[in-house]
Amino acid sequence: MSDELYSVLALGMRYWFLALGVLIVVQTFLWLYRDHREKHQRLRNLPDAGMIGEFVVLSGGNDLEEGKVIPVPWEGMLGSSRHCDVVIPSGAFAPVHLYFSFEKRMGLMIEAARGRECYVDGVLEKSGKKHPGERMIHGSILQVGDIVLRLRLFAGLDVERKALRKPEDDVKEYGMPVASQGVPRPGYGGYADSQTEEEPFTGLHLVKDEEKDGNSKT
Amino acid sequence: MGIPKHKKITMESTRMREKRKPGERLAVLVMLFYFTAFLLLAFRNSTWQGYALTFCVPAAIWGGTHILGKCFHIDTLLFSLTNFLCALGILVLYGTNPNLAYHQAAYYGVGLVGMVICIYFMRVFRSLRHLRILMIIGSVAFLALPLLIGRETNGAKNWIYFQSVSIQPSEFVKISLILVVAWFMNRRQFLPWFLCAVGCLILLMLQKDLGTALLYYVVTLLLFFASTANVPLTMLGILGGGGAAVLGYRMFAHVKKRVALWRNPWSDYENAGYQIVQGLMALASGSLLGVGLGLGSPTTIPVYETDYIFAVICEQFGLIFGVCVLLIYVAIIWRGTTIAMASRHGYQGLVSMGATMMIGLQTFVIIGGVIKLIPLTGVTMPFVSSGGSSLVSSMCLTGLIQGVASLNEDDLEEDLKLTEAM
Amino acid sequence: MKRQRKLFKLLAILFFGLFLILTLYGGYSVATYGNRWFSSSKNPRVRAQKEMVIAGDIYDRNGIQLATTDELGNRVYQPTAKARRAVVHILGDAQGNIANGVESFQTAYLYGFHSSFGELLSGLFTGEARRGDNLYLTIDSLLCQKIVESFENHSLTNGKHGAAVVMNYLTGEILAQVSLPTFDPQNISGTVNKNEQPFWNRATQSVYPPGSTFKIVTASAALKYLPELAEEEFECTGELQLDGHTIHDFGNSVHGLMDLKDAFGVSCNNIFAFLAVELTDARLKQMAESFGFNDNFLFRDLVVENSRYPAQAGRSDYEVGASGFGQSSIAASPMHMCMVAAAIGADGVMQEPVLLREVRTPSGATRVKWESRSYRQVMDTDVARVLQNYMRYVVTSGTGSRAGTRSMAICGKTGTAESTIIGKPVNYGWFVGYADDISLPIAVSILVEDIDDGQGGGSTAAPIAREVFQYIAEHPERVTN
Repeated sequence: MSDELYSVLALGMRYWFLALGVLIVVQTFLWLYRDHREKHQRLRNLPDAGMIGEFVVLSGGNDLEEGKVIPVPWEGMLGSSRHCDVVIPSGAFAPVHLYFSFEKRMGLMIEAARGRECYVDGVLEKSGKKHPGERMIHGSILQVGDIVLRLRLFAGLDVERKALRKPEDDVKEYGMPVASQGVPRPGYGGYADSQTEEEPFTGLHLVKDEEKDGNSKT
Repeated sequence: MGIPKHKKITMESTRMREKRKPGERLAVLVMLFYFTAFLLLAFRNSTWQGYALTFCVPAAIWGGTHILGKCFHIDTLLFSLTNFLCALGILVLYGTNPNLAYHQAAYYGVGLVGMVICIYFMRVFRSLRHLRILMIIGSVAFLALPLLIGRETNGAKNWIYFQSVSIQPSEFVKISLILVVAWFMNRRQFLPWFLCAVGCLILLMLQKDLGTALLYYVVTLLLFFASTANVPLTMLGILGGGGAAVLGYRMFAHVKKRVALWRNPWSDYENAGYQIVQGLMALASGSLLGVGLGLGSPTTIPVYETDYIFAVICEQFGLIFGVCVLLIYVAIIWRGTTIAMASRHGYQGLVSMGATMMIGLQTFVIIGGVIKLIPLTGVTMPFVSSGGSSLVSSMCLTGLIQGVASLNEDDLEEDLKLTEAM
Repeated sequence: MKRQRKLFKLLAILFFGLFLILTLYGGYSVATYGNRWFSSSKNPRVRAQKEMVIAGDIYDRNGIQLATTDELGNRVYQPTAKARRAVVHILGDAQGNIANGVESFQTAYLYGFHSSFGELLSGLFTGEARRGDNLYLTIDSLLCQKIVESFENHSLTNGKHGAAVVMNYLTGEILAQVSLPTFDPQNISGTVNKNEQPFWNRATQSVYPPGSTFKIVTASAALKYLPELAEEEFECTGELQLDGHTIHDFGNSVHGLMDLKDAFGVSCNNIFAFLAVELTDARLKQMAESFGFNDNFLFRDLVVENSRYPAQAGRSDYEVGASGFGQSSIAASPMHMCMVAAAIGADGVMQEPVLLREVRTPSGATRVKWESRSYRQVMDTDVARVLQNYMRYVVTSGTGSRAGTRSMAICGKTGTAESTIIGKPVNYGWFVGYADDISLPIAVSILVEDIDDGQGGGSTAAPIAREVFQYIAEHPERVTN
């Protein structure tokens, strides 16, 4: 093919290539935008997507109301700062108090932030080499100062069992008045009860209203 | 009202999956582009290879998307964009030096394999504890190799020659760096990633591969910022980087020369400035619409096939098309970020973001050098540049992002299953 | 995780910003500098194209053909050597001896790089050789010849180097641009004396100390920043002491008591040195920059060397005083000084100098036609009016009398700048001025290098300016069509 003919042809084709190039870019961004919308829609429909469970406030001290439910994602930070994944708006918690991460079959692994401490099922967890982190399963208790939270995992997340302390093993450091055996504490969900439960919680909060019935099975 | 809510969600999710229509349209457009482009070049060259490419490239694009898509969940958009850029590289190379184009096509195949390996790697990294330590040691060792057995090219000693193949270890260590750094940053274990990063940086400085050192440093710093949100330390890092740059300017003569050339490339037109000046002329000659595929004088630019390939693209296709290519990179960054944000675990997010930023930063640095916004640094343009190491490592980086994307898909499916369990 | 996500978003936006900068900078660079890069003589693309395309013709504003390509492919200029010598620095030559002449600067048009696809296609079918576009310049080649003649006719300027620029101060069109010594592009070896540096376009590429012509700037600054002072009377003792140095006037004259207008008219160095010190370096510099000093000139059609006003801080009173009358490291090209005079003539608006009127395709259709553009607003109209008054005074009763003609009201300023080249003192004679006539809005700048002792701008440059204005008065249709 002669050089001249080719150069004219190539010169003409550049409009074509440019048009296609622009179209490709436009399509790409349209796709990106559509996925963006899809994601938002999905989030709206499945508000619990990406969550593994929730913390229930057993005792809120002055800052939290009892029975409040806070959803827990797979991994993140817990603290009083609003940047945290689990926000506990209480002075007892540092802005970033601890890090958590859900491991399949192990449960929710807790690591305290530097200089902070908390109690997981009665065991002290501090940052540092001597405290490698604790794990929480369904029903585990997290306590910092006055605030007591209980973890409820969603169904379908199989977790190895863990020995949870019985009430008689309570030690003074635990901070809670020793529960007298068999006497349900007033206003308190019944710590003793939950110790004996066998089944994990099987509800998924698609609609907030369902909860209000006060499922005392758990 | 009658349909239970969870059923509605399943229906919607299937509808969402059917909405892959934009993907089809994009693939068609890309295939059409390359079909006509290679056809044009083939007409000129009239070789059987030209016609072969005309059919193979679009077929490969289509085949790759569908076949890989069936094997595991990959992000088709990212893959299409990657393919577009890789094919663009092959196209431009074919127009100027067909041999390079064939090699590039072969490397693309290797890159695909690398990408798949990286996808598997991402899924498996969590469970292999000893692998991680091995990786740190391995990366540093691999990076040290050129110092021991490598040859010096263009003032930097960062290549290894292996019979007929040349490898640039710094391109591959990028991948392990991101994996290692992301993992230990997520665990808040400062020492391992810091040592690894510092070790790599020192080795790169010794090899005088300052462009790649810059990339490593900035990506590590940004990942640090993303995982800890520690503004004071990040600022310190930026200042430290700036200080190191100034130090490098004072210490290394060739850095001084590069900066002087950046300010006025015409001062040493015959030798060192020649490349920059020819690049600028190519940009000007292309103007908005370009001079046409296969025309122009790309071969007058030294090293046009790697560093300056963007100038060649702008000359032949025009500045508007050059901006479109930039936008494709922007789309890749957007997608990588979205995938990072959608990931369930901090580690995955950091890996995806790290790979994205590596690609984005590299592109910025090289195009900035070509248009004389910043001095030239000797990094290549991801996907488009000729060169095995560059192409394969870029595809591996995309593989990392794809790996995270596939993990995200799995997590999403699990979520839906959890929903349906009710 | 939430925090990490937010930071990812932030980082992504940062990257988008980086890419935006890339796009904007790239676009800006190529738009402003693209033509210069392309026209550079080192561009191999051009060499290749030159073999395939016949370069287009160049015409002056009155249709005289300045350059064309003959059947053998050689570049041919005007028929007489005199004509060729006059415009060679504007046109440049095919070998690129002259930097940035029209022949090289407008390569893109001349060699058909801007041909549209349709034209190429039809060219393919007709089988004709490709031709580049034809350029129509704003200059009047006969005026250029007149200027060269004028330099040669006057005894005080014959054989001397120099430059001249003639502009329309309302539109910015360049009517003439002459640089001496000059040569014949069709007989380079025979007419060139390398020692004289004939390839250098002294009108646009060289910068000289403006000397007293810079008093235009000083006076404008005084009127703007020290309005009350400007109304007072000053005493010139002939010897102003600043920092241990003495400032003298031309010919050691003592002017006595006078106001600013008189000082401007007789070009009193003492008073302007005094004004400069009163103004302070900062304000004088500000005014100079308002006139375009220290600017990076990026004109569309031509490359002009940047003019300088010293930018370092803490200059001594002597240096500042010397700046008041255009010495002390101030430098400007004859082109820029013409623009300065033009700005006064145009009531304070400086137009961008343009060299091209129109580009036409080989078949005669207009490809591009350009409008004039204003470059900057130098000063307020009322200040400009005062300066117009002063500049008129210079010609009617001051040092510029030899520039005046009966047929037009000429306004101007003379200048005698001192300099040393390799230790030897060299003086430059300047005249910048314009005609106060709305139908002939012409500004002129004349520079003569190395004038004899005892001569000044008024005796060397001004008479040439007069001849330019006379030519314009006699042939108005040639410069205003």
